[in-house]
Amino acid sequence: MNETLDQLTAMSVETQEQAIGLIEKLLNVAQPSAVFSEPMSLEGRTIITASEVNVGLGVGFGVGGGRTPSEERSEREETQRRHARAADPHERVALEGSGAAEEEGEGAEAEPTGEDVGMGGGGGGGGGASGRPVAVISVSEDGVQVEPVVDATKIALAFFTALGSMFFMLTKMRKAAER
Amino acid sequence: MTQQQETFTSQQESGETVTVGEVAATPQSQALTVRWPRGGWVWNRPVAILVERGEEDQERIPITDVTRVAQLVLYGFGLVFAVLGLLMWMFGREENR
Repeated sequence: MNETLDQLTAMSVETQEQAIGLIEKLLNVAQPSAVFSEPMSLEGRTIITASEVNVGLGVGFGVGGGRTPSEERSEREETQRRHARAADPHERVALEGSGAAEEEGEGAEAEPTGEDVGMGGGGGGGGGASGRPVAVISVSEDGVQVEPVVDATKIALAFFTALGSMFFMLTKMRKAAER
Repeated sequence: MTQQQETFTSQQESGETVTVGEVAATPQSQALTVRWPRGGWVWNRPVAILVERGEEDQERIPITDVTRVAQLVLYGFGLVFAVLGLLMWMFGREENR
């Protein structure tokens, strides 16, 4: 029982260490190399792409175990004993003997059996990442030029969301004015 | 195993310098990191490019995120309009009473 618990705990610790290692790698995203691309030379100019990067992740683990409460256990043992008595009268002596042994050992904790002990564990994780080009940097002997990258889809979505909310509020205001 | 780290961190770092002729350009980025015991979140964005011509001539060109600015302006308009509409509706209701 203890060996199994130790193995389970060891496995859990190993998995947790792997997960923590993954979280540590998250910090690599905070480096400038994640934002600026490798410089590319083209017709006497050096081009660098600048992007915005977003990364997030989280993990969770849990391991637990326990024994059947002593009252339930004693009830179950009693039931088993009754069944055994009904089934085989010869076993009665042996069971009574074991009962006496239990009475003698009262106060000391009984050795748990396989049925009385249960344990389990679980874990999960999730994450997401996104990147979006923000600008293109062009370096030449004449100087440095920064050309912004415009995401028309995002702007259009924001425009229609704003327009929708304005229209909704305008309708509400008109209705209120009519009253 | 793991070091005790701050929950919120904001750091500005410089990337590799690109040199073309006499012009040296160093990109700069800003990273916002939020850490919790079993996870984290990192937002890294370019902020500026430092241009050097010779030893004395230095210039800092900011990198503007046009898409983000446009989004914020539009959402701001929507929000202001919504708040104004709500206030007008509330005052109109009180006057009617």
